[in-house]
Amino acid sequence: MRWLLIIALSAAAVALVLAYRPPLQPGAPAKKIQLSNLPVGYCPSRVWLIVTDHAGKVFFDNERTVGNCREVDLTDITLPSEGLVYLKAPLALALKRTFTSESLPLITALALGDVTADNVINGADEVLVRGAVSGSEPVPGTDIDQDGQMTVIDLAYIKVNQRAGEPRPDGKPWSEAVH
Amino acid sequence: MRRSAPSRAMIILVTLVTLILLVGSALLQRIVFRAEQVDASLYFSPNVVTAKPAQVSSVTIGANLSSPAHIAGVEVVFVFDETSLELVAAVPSPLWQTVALSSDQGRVRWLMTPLEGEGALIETGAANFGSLEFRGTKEGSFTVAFDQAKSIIAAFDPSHETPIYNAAVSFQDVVLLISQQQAIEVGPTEQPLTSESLSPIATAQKILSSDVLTFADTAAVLVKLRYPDQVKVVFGSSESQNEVVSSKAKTYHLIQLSGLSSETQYRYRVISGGIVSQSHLSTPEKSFSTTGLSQDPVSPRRSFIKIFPATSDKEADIIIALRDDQGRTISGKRPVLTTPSAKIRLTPIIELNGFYRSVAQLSQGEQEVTTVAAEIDSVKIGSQAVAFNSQLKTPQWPPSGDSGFLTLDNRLIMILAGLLLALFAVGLLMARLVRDR
Repeated sequence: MRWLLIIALSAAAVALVLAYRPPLQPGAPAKKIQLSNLPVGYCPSRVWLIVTDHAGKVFFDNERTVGNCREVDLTDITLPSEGLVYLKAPLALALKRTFTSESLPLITALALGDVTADNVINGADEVLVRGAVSGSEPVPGTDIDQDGQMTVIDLAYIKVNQRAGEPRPDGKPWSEAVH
Repeated sequence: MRRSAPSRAMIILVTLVTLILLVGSALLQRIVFRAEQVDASLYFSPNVVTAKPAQVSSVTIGANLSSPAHIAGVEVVFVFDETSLELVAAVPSPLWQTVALSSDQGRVRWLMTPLEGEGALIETGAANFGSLEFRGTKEGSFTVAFDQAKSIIAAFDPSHETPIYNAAVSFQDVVLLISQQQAIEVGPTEQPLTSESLSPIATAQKILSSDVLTFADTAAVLVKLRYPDQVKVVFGSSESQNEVVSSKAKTYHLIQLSGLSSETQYRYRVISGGIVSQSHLSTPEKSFSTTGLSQDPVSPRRSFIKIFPATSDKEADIIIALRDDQGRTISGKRPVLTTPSAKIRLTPIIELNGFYRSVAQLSQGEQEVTTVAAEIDSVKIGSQAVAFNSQLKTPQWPPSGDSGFLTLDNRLIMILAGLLLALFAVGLLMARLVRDR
């Protein structure tokens, strides 16, 4: 009976660990934010990043370069053991994610479509993109998927992502430097 | 002691079952609810219409989807001979609205979105976007053909696990037979032929897409298969029939059809088979028309660059089409390709009567996402993104552990083995308890 219980518990424990363990990425730095759910042509060079602990103490509040169009490296930032990450990328709504030192790398999706850079995707963005896909002179930023063409897919991003992004923790507007 | 043993065992049992349920739920989240992209076949229905001159014929635009999907918008671009046909009306279906409708020299671009909400959920697998009304102005057989490179069904995953993508992978044109002799017969709505219906073989192989780029005396057929195989393109005009066979078994094929006549309509079919299955798989017969040849100035608006495939392990073909304002092919120019990436090598451009071709190769590193732009005389004519990942695995036949929609990796197999072992142990434990009682 005892050996049976030991085997069962061991097997279940191993299965549980394997199931919840984040996928291994050989060679990649663990302290990074991986941007996902993005069209292949979308390649931001910079994002605005804020890192705080849960008490609101700010550890980082500045621009970061984006590597390989998808990776925000955090290795040179002193991070709290757990806290919050705020990230605003060009054309995207700002997002907020909690993290712990064990949960890195943080893989997160971006909601694209913020043409007006006001951290809200709404009718104002839709008017600009509608105009551009209808043949008007495109306003910069209306090519949401950055494929060099104004198509229904650009308009689809506006339709699908209509909402407000996360505000900055200090309540100030997001810097327009990311645009 | 004998009274406490079963209760202790029961606690262990409950703990084990809870653990198994927890792991099972995690697995379900990772496997079953993984986002799947939907393939769609965009078609005109019916695909053949007969009518008398000056009478109006109606053709619907619809799509067959491989599974239920959310559609956020549709962009349909089609071409027809405006000297023979007149587009009388374009009417969206009740749940759809027109965002843009433009027509330029027999080339129509119609952009529609759902009337309400972020997107329309097409649950039945079949969508009806709208209808077109044509009037024939002279007798003859005239094709209304989708521009396959420009027509888009914008599909999305509500859980936002994938970016918005173009679900349209196959197309079926319509032929209008305008004749004074024949009565108008707008036949029953025909569903487009699928590869399965033409070749009733039980195989996992699929022709995922087959597009064609046309030039003055050349056409490039771009084929994407689910599993590597050889591909044959059978093509011809009313006078002759030819075929070209690919040399290697691959998933992506660029088949070049040479020796064509300019401004001539050809019909073609893509056939795969021989390795994945002894039977052959075929697309419906489709058509294309070669362009005229021109020495007029290049129109950046009508010229384009195409990279195929857009995601590759180490290299991708680049095709440049230089067009004038009339859409005719321009030869003898020297377009220039540029990329901001130092990891990508671009081979010299080779030209064959206006068919400009190059290859992008990943020369350094494991992966790279970049763009390749084409310009002529310092005027940009287009750019396209391309992603290289040397770790990209080509699906192989027979698929290992692939039951059609699940891909089991080693880690998953270990998890399942652990779960099975735990389940087996629980079963033994229960049997032991029953026996003890």
